[in-house]
Amino acid sequence: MQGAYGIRGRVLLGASLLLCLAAAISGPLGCGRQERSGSRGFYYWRTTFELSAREEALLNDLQVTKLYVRLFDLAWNSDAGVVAPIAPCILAQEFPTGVELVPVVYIKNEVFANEHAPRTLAEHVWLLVTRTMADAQAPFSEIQVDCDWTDSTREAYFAFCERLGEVASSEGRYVSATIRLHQVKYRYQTGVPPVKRGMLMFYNVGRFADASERSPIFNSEDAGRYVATIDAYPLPLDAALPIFSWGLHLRDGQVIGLISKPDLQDLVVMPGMVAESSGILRAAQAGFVNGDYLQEGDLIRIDGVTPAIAHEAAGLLAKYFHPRGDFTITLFDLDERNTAGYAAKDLDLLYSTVR
Amino acid sequence: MPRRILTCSILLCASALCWVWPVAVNACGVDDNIDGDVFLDPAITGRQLDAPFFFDPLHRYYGEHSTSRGTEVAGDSILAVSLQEWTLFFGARVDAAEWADLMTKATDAELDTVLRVLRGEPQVNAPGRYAKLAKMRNRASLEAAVQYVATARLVDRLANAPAKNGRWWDPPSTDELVIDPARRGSLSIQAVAALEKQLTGTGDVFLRQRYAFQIVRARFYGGERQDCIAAYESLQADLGADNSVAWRALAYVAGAHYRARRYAEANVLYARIFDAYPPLRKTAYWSFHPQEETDWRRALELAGSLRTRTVLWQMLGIAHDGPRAMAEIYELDPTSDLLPLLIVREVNRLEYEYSVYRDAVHVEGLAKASQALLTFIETAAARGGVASPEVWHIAAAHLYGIEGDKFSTAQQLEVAASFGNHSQVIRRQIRATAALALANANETMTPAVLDSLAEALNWLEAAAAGGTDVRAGALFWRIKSVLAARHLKAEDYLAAVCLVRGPSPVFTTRENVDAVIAFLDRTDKSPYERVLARLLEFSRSDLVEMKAALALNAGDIRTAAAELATVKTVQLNADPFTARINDCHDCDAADPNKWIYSKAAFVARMSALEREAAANPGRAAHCWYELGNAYYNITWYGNSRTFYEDLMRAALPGQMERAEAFYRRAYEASMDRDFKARAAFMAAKCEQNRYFIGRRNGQPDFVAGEWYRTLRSRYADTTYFAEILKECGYFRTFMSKNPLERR
Repeated sequence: MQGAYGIRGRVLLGASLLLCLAAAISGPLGCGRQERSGSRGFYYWRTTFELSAREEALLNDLQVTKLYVRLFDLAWNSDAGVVAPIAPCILAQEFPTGVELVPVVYIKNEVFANEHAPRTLAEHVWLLVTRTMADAQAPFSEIQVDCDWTDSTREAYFAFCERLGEVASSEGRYVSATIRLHQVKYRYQTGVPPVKRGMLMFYNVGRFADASERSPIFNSEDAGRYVATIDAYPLPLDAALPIFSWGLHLRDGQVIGLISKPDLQDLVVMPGMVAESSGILRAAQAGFVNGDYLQEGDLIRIDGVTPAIAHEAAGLLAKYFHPRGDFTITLFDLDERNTAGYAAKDLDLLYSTVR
Repeated sequence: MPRRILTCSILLCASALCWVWPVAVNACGVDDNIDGDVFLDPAITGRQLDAPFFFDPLHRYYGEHSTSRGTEVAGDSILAVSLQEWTLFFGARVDAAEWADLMTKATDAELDTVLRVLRGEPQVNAPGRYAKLAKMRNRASLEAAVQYVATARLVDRLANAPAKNGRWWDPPSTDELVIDPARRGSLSIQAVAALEKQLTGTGDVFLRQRYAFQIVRARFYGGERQDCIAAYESLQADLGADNSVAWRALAYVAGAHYRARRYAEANVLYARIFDAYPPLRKTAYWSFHPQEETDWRRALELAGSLRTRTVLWQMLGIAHDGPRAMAEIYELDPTSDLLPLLIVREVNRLEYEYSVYRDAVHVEGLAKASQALLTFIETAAARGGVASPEVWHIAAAHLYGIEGDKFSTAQQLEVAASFGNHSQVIRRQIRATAALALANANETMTPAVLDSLAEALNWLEAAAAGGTDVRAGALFWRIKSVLAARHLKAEDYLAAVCLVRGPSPVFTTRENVDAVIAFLDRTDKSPYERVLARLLEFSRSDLVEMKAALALNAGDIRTAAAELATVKTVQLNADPFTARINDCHDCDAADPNKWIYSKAAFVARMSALEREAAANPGRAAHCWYELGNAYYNITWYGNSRTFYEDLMRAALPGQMERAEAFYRRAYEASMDRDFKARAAFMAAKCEQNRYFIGRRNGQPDFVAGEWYRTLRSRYADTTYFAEILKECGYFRTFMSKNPLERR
């Protein structure tokens, strides 16, 4: 018999060569493919933390494992000349167990236009967040900052993020930051914040000051202009999809305000509100509605993210978002008035569309 | 409850005074200062009380970020009022500053120490900053007052007013109560018990008022809103009337109703406070917040008096809907003194929005609103009996003035003047509105019209002098812009540039500048022309300089030198004959050994260099090199661009080419290879800058030209070449991509 590495050896060698070749050709789909999994998250953005039975059930049914909870906003108090937290989230109930909590701090851009010690501010924010979470007996490993920084505030904001990352890291935690689509597309101008992860906000694609027909929350035409470079963004990304809606308050063709989470059915039956066309109401007489004031002739354009629009957003995101490694798909935001228009399967589809 | 988010479409208000011609009228009225576009002075209402509620689209309260407006009446804040009341209570016996510090900043421990000192405890010393208080003779009243402050602290804790000095990131200190909502009620009861004990034990009316107030406050923060209302009702005798704590207690009652969602009751109380107690006016306005039409209507029913009903409408008018409020108030009470503020606000709003919005839909809406307001004013004024009728008529006049209806404006102003209100603000506004109408009238500019305009401009200029009357200054600017645009349309460029500064064809040729000089020299100018001549930003001397700059730009150095020699000129910041590889204007300006030239001396030297080059061929290369430097340094890239910039405000075309031409002559004339390398590199900089000036988006950052290649191919062995390589990144990049062949 020929040696042990004779004919049989050649067959084995050939087979292994073929396997390797197949692996090389198949690339990411081949043997070297890195497994990734998408976990499911929700944002909680109300000023009182209190889940309704339906909201709790949704978290369970959808197997949501991450809850991003806005703890407070940071704003600039121009009278006192200081940064101060506002609109804290009051805990009316304990945080749910079984989901990973991510405290979120929303920071108005004006803070970094005025704050001269951003690193110190980061330390203070860390103290308040850790104390709040400790008081709530809620462990956490990630803290998220949400700030729509600009050219003029970039340096201060990035210094803030860097310092926050240092103090978080010293306690075994890390920082993520929200990233808006324009900050992805124009990252060379806007910069990339020095954080561990980014949360891509896949919504608010249009200018709500533009009273045109396209929804500023999401429309494929506007969003499509920003998606090509998502995968090239130099931070590992999670992504957030919209399920919320708002009303654009229009007067003389100008957007003069937003009415958050309007209920179209309630507005339609309000005295003096006339349905002009699909999604547009006109105030036939002046009056107060839910704390807002409508002058005679004002229009309310309901800008809602229907399941179809949300799915369109998810589909577009799936096409251009290919994270390497684990990631989270999050929905904004957990509120019965948002989720009422969705069946659980609709929301489930959003998560599963982006894999 | 849905939240309202104010969009940036309202808040965007760019501050841009345009220098560009054709849009001078339309685009250039918007300023961060609201007064920049609003020419009806709201102070014509004559009520200082109204000032915080004048129209201001940028701030919640009128001028709240401007200390110069003085909208805060002296002693207006509730704290100031409270401290004044304490001063009256103590008489002159207590140091007011120390008392204010103790009330607002003393820690609990410090209060306790002061009390013990006042009670005569031995070997206890008051904190240093309360030394004067500690020595006060009649200690009984002071002790009672300090006891009050200490007891009131129990309520401060409930109100979550910690003495943290803004350190929100600190954990609560051990002496602070952590207010657990479940404990709030019991803590409130404890505080009330302590306060009631003190209330029972004191007969002093002043202190009884305050204890009663703190009890109401403790009930409010205790969480049971109804208890707060009941406490107020039972303590009204102690609270008294028309003092700060009585009104503040009422505000807490209003808040209790609001928190209990009894919006109608709350808003009625806020209206009463808004109307009757100035220190709490802003607080009441801020808190006024009807939710639905049902509670709004109920508030009107609960108002109890015609006055309160009209105040409710006024508050709605300020917050939301001026026209609706005006109509309702007029229906209820045509003589109401609440109407002038709303009328003036509405005119201001229209003025402001006319200046901000250009889209057809919005402008149409404004026109309708303006017409509706005019109809309302004229109908009511014709019926008579309105409060402050001069304000109504001035408002109507102003609306007509915005439209340019000079005659209706004049009619209304004549009626306004007839009421005999001779206050300065009214008289000033009458003139201002007349001037606005005149400018907007778009009449043919007959001599009579021009004379009227001259008078208006003279008055406005005088009123605006010193910068104290911002509104007059803004109106002056606006009218000049309107007139400048009309002159431009009629191709009277000289008149236009006299009114509004900026680049103009008037200053592009020497002949044109001569025409301007001739205009200034005329002795037979009309009143309007005298105004134009005075307003022209350039003096005769400036114009001569301009002519010289134009001559220099055309290469006529000798003429430029001769002209500059006839006027006094400023010094340049740096030596304009110096040159560097890397431009550094600051370095040149800071050079302690620099030659200092006035503009005249600079051009005189240029002329001398020109003559020397012609007369002495051996020196020509160096002379032309220096002339190249001179022309380079008066371009935008050079260290002496103030040569033209302070007058011309834009680079004159062709100077970089002229500099490059002189460097080329220097290069060609010299035999010294190092010198030639130097001249070639300076020419390369000119070539490079010409590329930068003409570069469009998407074009490369830099493209090497003729001179880089010349340097590379012929002068790589020179000393200067090595210096260029050391200092110039562009050149290094060029050489790295085009290395010399090794031999």
